Amino acid sequence: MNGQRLPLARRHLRLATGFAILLAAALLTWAAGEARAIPQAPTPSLFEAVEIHIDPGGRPLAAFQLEFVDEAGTARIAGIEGGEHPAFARPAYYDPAALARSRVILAAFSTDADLPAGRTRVATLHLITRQGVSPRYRIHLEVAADPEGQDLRPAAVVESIRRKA
Amino acid sequence: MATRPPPDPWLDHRLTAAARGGDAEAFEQLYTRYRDWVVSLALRYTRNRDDALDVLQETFLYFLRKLPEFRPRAELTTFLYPVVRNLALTRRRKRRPELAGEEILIEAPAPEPVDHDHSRRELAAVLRGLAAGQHEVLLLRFVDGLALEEIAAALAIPLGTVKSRLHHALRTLREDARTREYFDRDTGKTRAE
Amino acid sequence: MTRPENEGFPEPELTAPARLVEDLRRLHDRTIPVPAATDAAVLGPARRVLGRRRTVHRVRWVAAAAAAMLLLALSLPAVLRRAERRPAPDRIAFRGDLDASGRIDILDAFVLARGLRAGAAAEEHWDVTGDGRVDAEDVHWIARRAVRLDQ
Repeated sequence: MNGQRLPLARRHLRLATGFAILLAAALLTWAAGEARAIPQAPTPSLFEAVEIHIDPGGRPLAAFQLEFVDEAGTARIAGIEGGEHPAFARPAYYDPAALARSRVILAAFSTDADLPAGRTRVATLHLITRQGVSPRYRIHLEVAADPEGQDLRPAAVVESIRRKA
Repeated sequence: MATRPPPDPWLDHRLTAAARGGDAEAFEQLYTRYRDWVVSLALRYTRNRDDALDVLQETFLYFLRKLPEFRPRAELTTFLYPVVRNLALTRRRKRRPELAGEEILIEAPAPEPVDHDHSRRELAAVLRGLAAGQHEVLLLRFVDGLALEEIAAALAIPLGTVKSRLHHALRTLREDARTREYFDRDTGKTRAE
Repeated sequence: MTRPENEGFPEPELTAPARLVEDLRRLHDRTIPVPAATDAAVLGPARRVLGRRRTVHRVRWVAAAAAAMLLLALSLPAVLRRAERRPAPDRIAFRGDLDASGRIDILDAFVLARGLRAGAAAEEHWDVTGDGRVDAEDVHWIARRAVRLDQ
Protein backbone atom coordinates (compact mmCIF):
# COMPACT_ATOMS: atom_id res chain seq x y z
CA MET A 1 0.00 0.00 0.00
CA ASN A 2 1.32 3.35 -0.89
CA GLY A 3 -1.34 5.23 1.11
CA GLN A 4 -2.92 6.63 -2.05
CA ARG A 5 -6.72 6.57 -2.27
CA LEU A 6 -8.11 4.58 -5.18
CA PRO A 7 -10.05 6.58 -7.78
CA LEU A 8 -13.83 6.56 -7.19
CA ALA A 9 -14.61 4.63 -10.38
CA ARG A 10 -12.21 1.83 -9.44
CA ARG A 11 -13.63 1.53 -5.93
CA HIS A 12 -17.12 1.21 -7.40
CA LEU A 13 -15.90 -1.41 -9.86
CA ARG A 14 -14.40 -3.46 -7.01
CA LEU A 15 -17.60 -3.22 -4.98
CA ALA A 16 -19.71 -4.26 -7.98
CA THR A 17 -17.38 -7.19 -8.73
CA GLY A 18 -17.56 -8.38 -5.12
CA PHE A 19 -21.34 -8.14 -5.15
CA ALA A 20 -21.56 -10.02 -8.46
CA ILE A 21 -19.34 -12.82 -7.10
CA LEU A 22 -21.50 -13.13 -3.98
CA LEU A 23 -24.69 -13.16 -6.07
CA ALA A 24 -23.28 -15.79 -8.43
CA ALA A 25 -22.22 -17.99 -5.49
CA ALA A 26 -25.69 -17.71 -3.93
CA LEU A 27 -27.38 -18.58 -7.24
CA LEU A 28 -25.06 -21.54 -7.81
CA THR A 29 -25.75 -22.90 -4.29
CA TRP A 30 -29.46 -22.52 -4.81
CA ALA A 31 -29.37 -24.09 -8.29
CA ALA A 32 -27.43 -27.09 -6.96
CA GLY A 33 -30.05 -27.57 -4.23
CA GLU A 34 -32.79 -27.28 -6.84
CA ALA A 35 -31.20 -29.93 -9.03
CA ARG A 36 -31.02 -32.29 -6.07
CA ALA A 37 -34.65 -31.56 -5.16
CA ILE A 38 -36.01 -32.69 -8.56
CA PRO A 39 -36.36 -36.46 -8.50
CA GLN A 40 -35.32 -38.14 -11.72
CA ALA A 41 -37.57 -41.21 -11.81
CA PRO A 42 -41.30 -40.82 -11.22
CA THR A 43 -42.71 -43.05 -8.51
CA PRO A 44 -46.16 -44.55 -9.13
CA SER A 45 -48.83 -42.68 -7.21
CA LEU A 46 -52.03 -43.99 -5.64
CA PHE A 47 -55.20 -42.28 -4.54
CA GLU A 48 -56.50 -42.72 -1.03
CA ALA A 49 -59.45 -41.11 0.71
CA VAL A 50 -59.63 -40.38 4.41
CA GLU A 51 -63.03 -39.68 5.91
CA ILE A 52 -62.97 -37.52 9.02
CA HIS A 53 -65.80 -37.97 11.50
CA ILE A 54 -66.62 -35.98 14.62
CA ASP A 55 -68.92 -37.20 17.34
CA PRO A 56 -69.90 -34.12 19.38
CA GLY A 57 -71.30 -36.30 22.15
CA GLY A 58 -74.99 -35.48 21.80
CA ARG A 59 -74.69 -31.68 21.62
CA PRO A 60 -75.06 -29.75 18.35
CA LEU A 61 -71.81 -29.16 16.53
CA ALA A 62 -71.62 -25.60 15.14
CA ALA A 63 -67.90 -25.16 14.53
CA PHE A 64 -64.78 -27.27 14.30
CA GLN A 65 -61.14 -26.86 13.50
CA LEU A 66 -58.71 -29.73 13.20
CA GLU A 67 -55.20 -30.42 12.09
CA PHE A 68 -54.51 -33.37 9.82
CA VAL A 69 -50.96 -34.48 9.21
CA ASP A 70 -49.17 -37.39 7.62
CA GLU A 71 -46.26 -37.84 9.98
CA ALA A 72 -44.46 -39.96 7.39
CA GLY A 73 -44.53 -36.90 5.12
CA THR A 74 -45.28 -38.87 1.97
CA ALA A 75 -48.98 -38.20 1.26
CA ARG A 76 -50.04 -35.15 -0.74
CA ILE A 77 -53.48 -33.64 -0.48
CA ALA A 78 -55.31 -33.72 -3.81
CA GLY A 79 -58.80 -32.62 -2.87
CA ILE A 80 -61.12 -31.86 0.01
CA GLU A 81 -64.81 -32.71 0.09
CA GLY A 82 -67.45 -31.38 2.43
CA GLY A 83 -69.28 -33.34 5.06
CA GLU A 84 -72.47 -35.38 5.03
CA HIS A 85 -74.68 -33.08 7.11
CA PRO A 86 -76.13 -30.09 5.20
CA ALA A 87 -74.63 -27.73 7.78
CA PHE A 88 -71.13 -28.89 6.79
CA ALA A 89 -71.78 -29.93 3.20
CA ARG A 90 -69.47 -27.29 1.74
CA PRO A 91 -65.75 -28.08 1.86
CA ALA A 92 -64.05 -26.72 4.98
CA TYR A 93 -61.65 -23.80 4.88
CA TYR A 94 -58.03 -24.82 4.29
CA ASP A 95 -54.77 -23.22 3.28
CA PRO A 96 -53.96 -23.89 -0.41
CA ALA A 97 -50.32 -24.13 0.63
CA ALA A 98 -51.28 -27.45 2.23
CA LEU A 99 -51.41 -28.95 -1.24
CA ALA A 100 -47.67 -29.03 -1.44
CA ARG A 101 -47.33 -30.51 2.03
CA SER A 102 -48.54 -33.38 4.15
CA ARG A 103 -50.34 -31.22 6.66
CA VAL A 104 -53.57 -29.28 6.56
CA ILE A 105 -55.79 -27.37 8.97
CA LEU A 106 -59.50 -27.76 8.25
CA ALA A 107 -62.08 -25.47 9.77
CA ALA A 108 -65.78 -24.88 9.24
CA PHE A 109 -68.76 -23.45 11.05
CA SER A 110 -72.48 -23.20 10.53
CA THR A 111 -75.04 -20.72 11.78
CA ASP A 112 -77.89 -23.00 10.68
CA ALA A 113 -80.50 -24.11 13.22
CA ASP A 114 -80.22 -27.73 12.08
CA LEU A 115 -76.87 -29.06 13.29
CA PRO A 116 -75.50 -32.58 13.75
CA ALA A 117 -75.50 -33.82 17.34
CA GLY A 118 -74.35 -37.36 16.63
CA ARG A 119 -71.36 -38.81 14.83
CA THR A 120 -71.05 -37.12 11.44
CA ARG A 121 -68.57 -37.07 8.58
CA VAL A 122 -67.29 -33.50 8.39
CA ALA A 123 -64.80 -33.89 5.54
CA THR A 124 -63.16 -36.32 3.15
CA LEU A 125 -59.55 -35.78 2.19
CA HIS A 126 -58.33 -37.17 -1.11
CA LEU A 127 -54.65 -37.95 -0.89
CA ILE A 128 -51.97 -39.02 -3.28
CA THR A 129 -49.74 -41.58 -1.67
CA ARG A 130 -46.61 -43.30 -2.93
CA GLN A 131 -46.64 -46.96 -3.75
CA GLY A 132 -44.82 -48.97 -1.12
CA VAL A 133 -44.75 -46.17 1.48
CA SER A 134 -47.25 -46.24 4.34
CA PRO A 135 -48.51 -42.86 5.49
CA ARG A 136 -48.99 -42.25 9.23
CA TYR A 137 -52.02 -40.03 9.68
CA ARG A 138 -52.69 -38.06 12.85
CA ILE A 139 -55.66 -35.79 13.57
CA HIS A 140 -55.84 -33.22 16.33
CA LEU A 141 -59.18 -31.60 17.11
CA GLU A 142 -58.35 -27.98 17.92
CA VAL A 143 -61.87 -26.56 18.12
CA ALA A 144 -65.31 -28.12 18.53
CA ALA A 145 -68.04 -25.75 19.64
CA ASP A 146 -71.81 -25.62 19.99
CA PRO A 147 -73.97 -22.72 18.68
CA GLU A 148 -73.12 -20.69 21.79
CA GLY A 149 -69.42 -21.13 21.17
CA GLN A 150 -69.07 -23.51 24.13
CA ASP A 151 -66.19 -25.96 23.91
CA LEU A 152 -67.40 -29.49 23.15
CA ARG A 153 -64.01 -31.09 23.13
CA PRO A 154 -64.14 -32.87 26.45
CA ALA A 155 -66.92 -35.03 25.00
CA ALA A 156 -66.22 -34.73 21.28
CA VAL A 157 -64.37 -37.49 19.48
CA VAL A 158 -62.61 -37.24 16.11
CA GLU A 159 -61.74 -40.28 14.05
CA SER A 160 -60.70 -41.15 10.54
CA ILE A 161 -61.52 -43.96 8.15
CA ARG A 162 -59.13 -44.81 5.32
CA ARG A 163 -60.35 -46.20 2.07
CA LYS A 164 -58.90 -46.65 -1.39
CA ALA A 165 -60.26 -44.00 -3.70
CA MET B 1 -64.56 -47.16 -13.27
CA ALA B 2 -62.72 -43.90 -13.92
CA THR B 3 -65.18 -41.16 -13.26
CA ARG B 4 -64.01 -37.62 -13.21
CA PRO B 5 -62.13 -36.66 -10.00
CA PRO B 6 -64.02 -34.77 -7.29
CA PRO B 7 -64.54 -31.24 -8.65
CA ASP B 8 -62.44 -28.68 -6.83
CA PRO B 9 -61.87 -25.56 -8.95
CA TRP B 10 -59.94 -23.89 -6.16
CA LEU B 11 -57.53 -26.80 -5.96
CA ASP B 12 -57.10 -26.87 -9.75
CA HIS B 13 -56.54 -23.14 -9.78
CA ARG B 14 -53.87 -23.33 -7.10
CA LEU B 15 -52.14 -26.33 -8.66
CA THR B 16 -52.18 -24.73 -12.09
CA ALA B 17 -50.77 -21.48 -10.72
CA ALA B 18 -48.05 -23.41 -8.87
CA ALA B 19 -47.19 -25.43 -11.98
CA ARG B 20 -47.06 -22.25 -14.04
CA GLY B 21 -44.51 -20.97 -11.54
CA GLY B 22 -42.37 -24.06 -12.15
CA ASP B 23 -43.67 -26.42 -9.46
CA ALA B 24 -43.29 -29.87 -11.04
CA GLU B 25 -44.99 -31.55 -8.09
CA ALA B 26 -48.12 -29.45 -8.64
CA PHE B 27 -48.16 -30.57 -12.26
CA GLU B 28 -47.80 -34.17 -11.11
CA GLN B 29 -50.78 -33.72 -8.78
CA LEU B 30 -52.86 -32.39 -11.67
CA TYR B 31 -51.74 -35.30 -13.80
CA THR B 32 -52.61 -37.81 -11.09
CA ARG B 33 -55.96 -36.13 -10.51
CA TYR B 34 -57.04 -36.28 -14.16
CA ARG B 35 -55.01 -39.16 -15.64
CA ASP B 36 -57.59 -41.93 -15.26
CA TRP B 37 -60.43 -39.75 -16.47
CA VAL B 38 -58.46 -38.62 -19.53
CA VAL B 39 -57.43 -42.14 -20.46
CA SER B 40 -60.98 -43.47 -20.11
CA LEU B 41 -62.24 -40.63 -22.28
CA ALA B 42 -59.53 -41.30 -24.85
CA LEU B 43 -60.41 -44.98 -24.83
CA ARG B 44 -64.06 -44.12 -25.41
CA TYR B 45 -63.14 -42.25 -28.60
CA THR B 46 -60.22 -44.31 -29.92
CA ARG B 47 -61.35 -47.78 -28.75
CA ASN B 48 -57.71 -48.72 -28.85
CA ARG B 49 -55.49 -49.13 -25.81
CA ASP B 50 -52.26 -47.89 -27.38
CA ASP B 51 -53.96 -44.92 -29.00
CA ALA B 52 -55.64 -44.02 -25.71
CA LEU B 53 -52.29 -44.04 -23.91
CA ASP B 54 -50.75 -41.91 -26.66
CA VAL B 55 -53.64 -39.46 -26.38
CA LEU B 56 -53.13 -39.29 -22.62
CA GLN B 57 -49.48 -38.44 -23.13
CA GLU B 58 -50.13 -35.90 -25.88
CA THR B 59 -52.92 -34.23 -23.87
CA PHE B 60 -50.69 -33.54 -20.89
CA LEU B 61 -47.72 -32.50 -22.99
CA TYR B 62 -50.04 -30.07 -24.79
CA PHE B 63 -51.24 -28.82 -21.39
CA LEU B 64 -47.60 -28.42 -20.33
CA ARG B 65 -46.88 -26.32 -23.43
CA LYS B 66 -49.99 -24.20 -22.83
CA LEU B 67 -49.28 -23.66 -19.14
CA PRO B 68 -47.49 -20.29 -19.43
CA GLU B 69 -50.56 -18.61 -20.92
CA PHE B 70 -53.15 -20.90 -19.33
CA ARG B 71 -55.65 -19.06 -17.10
CA PRO B 72 -58.36 -21.42 -15.81
CA ARG B 73 -61.78 -19.80 -15.99
CA ALA B 74 -63.70 -22.94 -15.13
CA GLU B 75 -63.12 -26.58 -14.29
CA LEU B 76 -59.99 -28.06 -15.84
CA THR B 77 -62.23 -30.69 -17.43
CA THR B 78 -63.58 -28.04 -19.79
CA PHE B 79 -60.04 -27.41 -21.02
CA LEU B 80 -59.01 -31.06 -21.19
CA TYR B 81 -62.14 -32.48 -22.77
CA PRO B 82 -61.85 -30.82 -26.23
CA VAL B 83 -58.12 -31.56 -26.30
CA VAL B 84 -58.66 -35.27 -25.60
CA ARG B 85 -61.55 -35.42 -28.06
CA ASN B 86 -59.63 -33.77 -30.90
CA LEU B 87 -56.46 -35.79 -30.36
CA ALA B 88 -58.46 -39.02 -30.10
CA LEU B 89 -60.49 -38.34 -33.22
CA THR B 90 -57.34 -37.41 -35.16
CA ARG B 91 -55.82 -40.75 -34.19
CA ARG B 92 -58.93 -42.60 -35.16
CA ARG B 93 -59.04 -40.83 -38.50
CA LYS B 94 -55.46 -41.96 -39.13
CA ARG B 95 -56.44 -45.56 -38.43
CA ARG B 96 -59.62 -45.38 -40.49
CA PRO B 97 -59.09 -42.74 -43.17
CA GLU B 98 -62.19 -43.90 -45.03
CA LEU B 99 -64.42 -42.32 -42.35
CA ALA B 100 -65.34 -38.66 -42.55
CA GLY B 101 -65.26 -36.49 -39.43
CA GLU B 102 -68.92 -36.70 -38.53
CA GLU B 103 -69.08 -40.44 -39.07
CA ILE B 104 -66.22 -40.89 -36.65
CA LEU B 105 -67.96 -38.72 -34.09
CA ILE B 106 -71.12 -40.76 -34.39
CA GLU B 107 -69.32 -44.03 -34.19
CA ALA B 108 -66.61 -43.28 -31.71
CA PRO B 109 -68.45 -42.94 -28.40
CA ALA B 110 -70.40 -46.19 -28.91
CA PRO B 111 -69.98 -48.77 -26.16
CA GLU B 112 -68.62 -52.27 -26.44
CA PRO B 113 -71.05 -54.39 -28.43
CA VAL B 114 -70.85 -57.37 -26.08
CA ASP B 115 -72.72 -57.05 -22.81
CA HIS B 116 -74.37 -59.92 -21.04
CA ASP B 117 -77.00 -57.80 -19.39
CA HIS B 118 -80.13 -57.64 -21.55
CA SER B 119 -81.28 -54.15 -20.61
CA ARG B 120 -77.78 -52.77 -21.12
CA ARG B 121 -77.66 -54.35 -24.57
CA GLU B 122 -80.96 -52.67 -25.38
CA LEU B 123 -79.69 -49.39 -23.97
CA ALA B 124 -76.57 -49.63 -26.13
CA ALA B 125 -78.76 -50.19 -29.21
CA VAL B 126 -80.88 -47.13 -28.46
CA LEU B 127 -77.77 -45.04 -27.80
CA ARG B 128 -76.44 -45.99 -31.23
CA GLY B 129 -79.55 -44.44 -32.74
CA LEU B 130 -79.09 -41.09 -31.01
CA ALA B 131 -77.69 -38.12 -32.89
CA ALA B 132 -73.96 -37.75 -32.24
CA GLY B 133 -74.35 -34.46 -30.42
CA GLN B 134 -77.10 -35.78 -28.15
CA HIS B 135 -75.12 -38.92 -27.38
CA GLU B 136 -72.04 -36.93 -26.49
CA VAL B 137 -73.89 -34.55 -24.17
CA LEU B 138 -75.66 -37.46 -22.49
CA LEU B 139 -72.34 -39.14 -21.68
CA LEU B 140 -70.67 -35.95 -20.54
CA ARG B 141 -73.55 -35.32 -18.17
CA PHE B 142 -74.18 -38.74 -16.69
CA VAL B 143 -70.96 -40.69 -17.18
CA ASP B 144 -68.45 -37.89 -16.66
CA GLY B 145 -70.63 -35.89 -14.28
CA LEU B 146 -70.03 -32.51 -15.91
CA ALA B 147 -72.43 -29.69 -15.07
CA LEU B 148 -74.48 -28.29 -17.93
CA GLU B 149 -72.39 -25.10 -17.96
CA GLU B 150 -69.20 -27.13 -18.08
CA ILE B 151 -70.47 -29.13 -21.04
CA ALA B 152 -71.32 -25.90 -22.85
CA ALA B 153 -67.80 -24.61 -22.20
CA ALA B 154 -66.13 -27.91 -23.14
CA LEU B 155 -67.98 -28.20 -26.43
CA ALA B 156 -68.01 -24.43 -27.09
CA ILE B 157 -71.78 -24.43 -27.66
CA PRO B 158 -74.52 -22.37 -25.99
CA LEU B 159 -76.00 -23.65 -22.72
CA GLY B 160 -79.40 -23.78 -24.38
CA THR B 161 -78.07 -26.18 -26.99
CA VAL B 162 -76.72 -28.45 -24.25
CA LYS B 163 -80.11 -28.47 -22.53
CA SER B 164 -81.89 -29.08 -25.79
CA ARG B 165 -79.65 -32.02 -26.76
CA LEU B 166 -79.94 -33.56 -23.33
CA HIS B 167 -83.68 -33.11 -23.30
CA HIS B 168 -84.06 -34.82 -26.67
CA ALA B 169 -81.70 -37.66 -25.74
CA LEU B 170 -83.64 -38.35 -22.53
CA ARG B 171 -86.96 -38.10 -24.36
CA THR B 172 -85.77 -40.68 -26.89
CA LEU B 173 -84.75 -43.03 -24.08
CA ARG B 174 -88.02 -42.41 -22.25
CA GLU B 175 -90.17 -43.07 -25.32
CA ASP B 176 -88.29 -46.00 -26.81
CA ALA B 177 -89.88 -49.30 -25.80
CA ARG B 178 -86.46 -50.87 -25.25
CA THR B 179 -85.41 -48.33 -22.59
CA ARG B 180 -88.75 -47.13 -21.22
CA GLU B 181 -88.49 -49.46 -18.23
CA TYR B 182 -85.65 -47.37 -16.78
CA PHE B 183 -88.14 -44.55 -16.33
CA ASP B 184 -91.11 -46.72 -15.32
CA ARG B 185 -89.16 -48.43 -12.58
CA ASP B 186 -87.55 -45.26 -11.35
CA THR B 187 -88.39 -44.50 -7.75
CA GLY B 188 -86.26 -41.43 -7.42
CA LYS B 189 -84.45 -39.09 -9.73
CA THR B 190 -80.75 -38.85 -9.55
CA ARG B 191 -78.40 -36.04 -10.15
CA ALA B 192 -75.15 -36.59 -11.99
CA GLU B 193 -73.02 -35.04 -9.24
CA MET C 1 -89.42 -17.69 -36.42
CA THR C 2 -87.94 -20.77 -34.78
CA ARG C 3 -87.89 -21.12 -31.03
CA PRO C 4 -84.44 -20.46 -29.54
CA GLU C 5 -82.78 -23.64 -28.33
CA ASN C 6 -82.11 -22.29 -24.89
CA GLU C 7 -85.68 -22.13 -23.72
CA GLY C 8 -88.18 -24.46 -22.17
CA PHE C 9 -86.12 -27.22 -20.52
CA PRO C 10 -86.52 -27.01 -16.77
CA GLU C 11 -83.76 -28.73 -14.78
CA PRO C 12 -85.90 -31.62 -13.41
CA GLU C 13 -86.50 -32.80 -16.97
CA LEU C 14 -82.78 -33.10 -17.48
CA THR C 15 -82.22 -35.67 -14.76
CA ALA C 16 -82.00 -39.41 -15.29
CA PRO C 17 -83.07 -42.39 -13.20
CA ALA C 18 -80.30 -43.81 -11.02
CA ARG C 19 -80.34 -47.18 -12.80
CA LEU C 20 -79.97 -45.57 -16.20
CA VAL C 21 -76.99 -43.55 -14.98
CA GLU C 22 -75.44 -46.69 -13.54
CA ASP C 23 -75.87 -48.62 -16.79
CA LEU C 24 -74.55 -45.71 -18.87
CA ARG C 25 -71.46 -45.73 -16.69
CA ARG C 26 -71.11 -49.49 -16.98
CA LEU C 27 -71.29 -49.24 -20.75
CA HIS C 28 -68.95 -46.32 -21.21
CA ASP C 29 -66.84 -45.71 -18.18
CA ARG C 30 -64.04 -48.16 -18.87
CA THR C 31 -60.42 -47.51 -18.27
CA ILE C 32 -57.07 -49.21 -18.64
CA PRO C 33 -54.08 -49.30 -16.31
CA VAL C 34 -51.58 -46.62 -17.23
CA PRO C 35 -48.09 -48.09 -17.44
CA ALA C 36 -45.25 -46.43 -15.57
CA ALA C 37 -43.58 -45.68 -18.92
CA THR C 38 -46.50 -43.40 -19.91
CA ASP C 39 -46.34 -41.63 -16.54
CA ALA C 40 -42.62 -41.14 -17.06
CA ALA C 41 -43.15 -39.88 -20.63
CA VAL C 42 -45.34 -37.10 -19.26
CA LEU C 43 -43.72 -36.34 -15.92
CA GLY C 44 -40.12 -36.51 -17.14
CA PRO C 45 -40.47 -33.61 -19.63
CA ALA C 46 -42.68 -31.76 -17.13
CA ARG C 47 -39.94 -31.87 -14.51
CA ARG C 48 -37.33 -30.66 -16.97
CA VAL C 49 -39.47 -27.85 -18.41
CA LEU C 50 -40.88 -26.70 -15.10
CA GLY C 51 -37.50 -26.96 -13.40
CA ARG C 52 -36.11 -24.45 -15.91
CA ARG C 53 -39.15 -22.23 -15.51
CA ARG C 54 -38.76 -22.30 -11.74
CA THR C 55 -35.22 -21.01 -12.05
CA VAL C 56 -36.40 -18.05 -14.14
CA HIS C 57 -39.19 -17.39 -11.66
CA ARG C 58 -36.83 -17.48 -8.71
CA VAL C 59 -34.49 -15.00 -10.34
CA ARG C 60 -37.43 -12.69 -10.99
CA TRP C 61 -38.58 -13.06 -7.41
CA VAL C 62 -35.12 -12.32 -6.05
CA ALA C 63 -34.99 -9.17 -8.15
CA ALA C 64 -38.48 -8.13 -7.08
CA ALA C 65 -37.72 -8.86 -3.43
CA ALA C 66 -34.53 -6.81 -3.62
CA ALA C 67 -36.46 -3.91 -5.13
CA ALA C 68 -39.17 -4.22 -2.49
CA MET C 69 -36.61 -4.27 0.32
CA LEU C 70 -34.97 -1.19 -1.07
CA LEU C 71 -38.33 0.54 -1.21
CA LEU C 72 -39.12 -0.57 2.33
CA ALA C 73 -35.81 0.67 3.62
CA LEU C 74 -36.44 4.04 2.01
CA SER C 75 -39.98 4.36 3.36
CA LEU C 76 -39.45 2.80 6.82
CA PRO C 77 -38.73 6.03 8.71
CA ALA C 78 -42.00 7.57 7.50
CA VAL C 79 -43.97 4.42 8.38
CA LEU C 80 -42.50 4.31 11.87
CA ARG C 81 -43.36 7.97 12.45
CA ARG C 82 -47.00 7.28 11.47
CA ALA C 83 -47.21 4.19 13.68
CA GLU C 84 -46.08 6.18 16.68
CA ARG C 85 -48.98 8.60 16.22
CA ARG C 86 -51.64 5.80 16.01
CA PRO C 87 -53.24 4.72 19.35
CA ALA C 88 -52.73 1.06 20.27
CA PRO C 89 -55.86 -1.11 20.19
CA ASP C 90 -56.91 -2.01 23.73
CA ARG C 91 -59.83 -4.37 23.11
CA ILE C 92 -58.23 -7.05 21.03
CA ALA C 93 -54.91 -8.80 21.12
CA PHE C 94 -54.49 -8.56 17.34
CA ARG C 95 -56.49 -8.23 14.17
CA GLY C 96 -58.97 -11.07 13.77
CA ASP C 97 -58.81 -12.30 17.35
CA LEU C 98 -62.39 -11.22 18.04
CA ASP C 99 -62.91 -13.36 21.14
CA ALA C 100 -59.59 -12.19 22.62
CA SER C 101 -58.42 -15.76 23.09
CA GLY C 102 -54.89 -14.91 22.07
CA ARG C 103 -55.10 -16.78 18.76
CA ILE C 104 -57.16 -16.69 15.57
CA ASP C 105 -59.26 -19.75 15.04
CA ILE C 106 -62.57 -20.66 13.46
CA LEU C 107 -64.43 -19.49 16.58
CA ASP C 108 -63.49 -15.90 15.73
CA ALA C 109 -65.09 -16.28 12.30
CA PHE C 110 -68.05 -18.00 13.91
CA VAL C 111 -68.51 -15.17 16.43
CA LEU C 112 -68.57 -12.64 13.62
CA ALA C 113 -70.88 -14.71 11.37
CA ARG C 114 -73.29 -15.19 14.26
CA GLY C 115 -73.21 -11.45 15.01
CA LEU C 116 -73.87 -10.57 11.37
CA ARG C 117 -76.69 -13.08 11.12
CA ALA C 118 -78.29 -11.72 14.30
CA GLY C 119 -78.01 -8.19 12.92
CA ALA C 120 -75.84 -7.06 15.82
CA ALA C 121 -74.35 -3.58 15.61
CA ALA C 122 -70.93 -3.85 13.99
CA GLU C 123 -67.97 -3.15 16.22
CA GLU C 124 -64.98 -1.34 14.84
CA HIS C 125 -62.55 -4.24 15.30
CA TRP C 126 -64.84 -6.54 13.29
CA ASP C 127 -63.71 -4.79 10.11
CA VAL C 128 -60.64 -6.96 9.79
CA THR C 129 -60.22 -6.36 6.07
CA GLY C 130 -60.09 -2.62 6.68
CA ASP C 131 -62.42 -1.80 3.81
CA GLY C 132 -64.79 0.25 5.97
CA ARG C 133 -67.51 -2.43 5.94
CA VAL C 134 -68.29 -5.41 8.14
CA ASP C 135 -69.58 -8.25 5.99
CA ALA C 136 -68.97 -11.82 4.85
CA GLU C 137 -65.56 -10.82 3.51
CA ASP C 138 -64.41 -10.22 7.09
CA VAL C 139 -65.70 -13.67 8.10
CA HIS C 140 -63.82 -15.30 5.22
CA TRP C 141 -60.67 -13.34 6.03
CA ILE C 142 -60.64 -14.66 9.60
CA ALA C 143 -61.50 -18.23 8.56
CA ARG C 144 -58.73 -18.25 5.97
CA ARG C 145 -56.32 -16.80 8.53
CA ALA C 146 -57.33 -19.51 11.02
CA VAL C 147 -56.30 -22.33 8.69
CA ARG C 148 -53.03 -20.82 7.54
CA LEU C 149 -50.15 -23.22 7.98
CA ASP C 150 -47.47 -20.61 8.60
CA GLN C 151 -49.00 -19.19 11.78
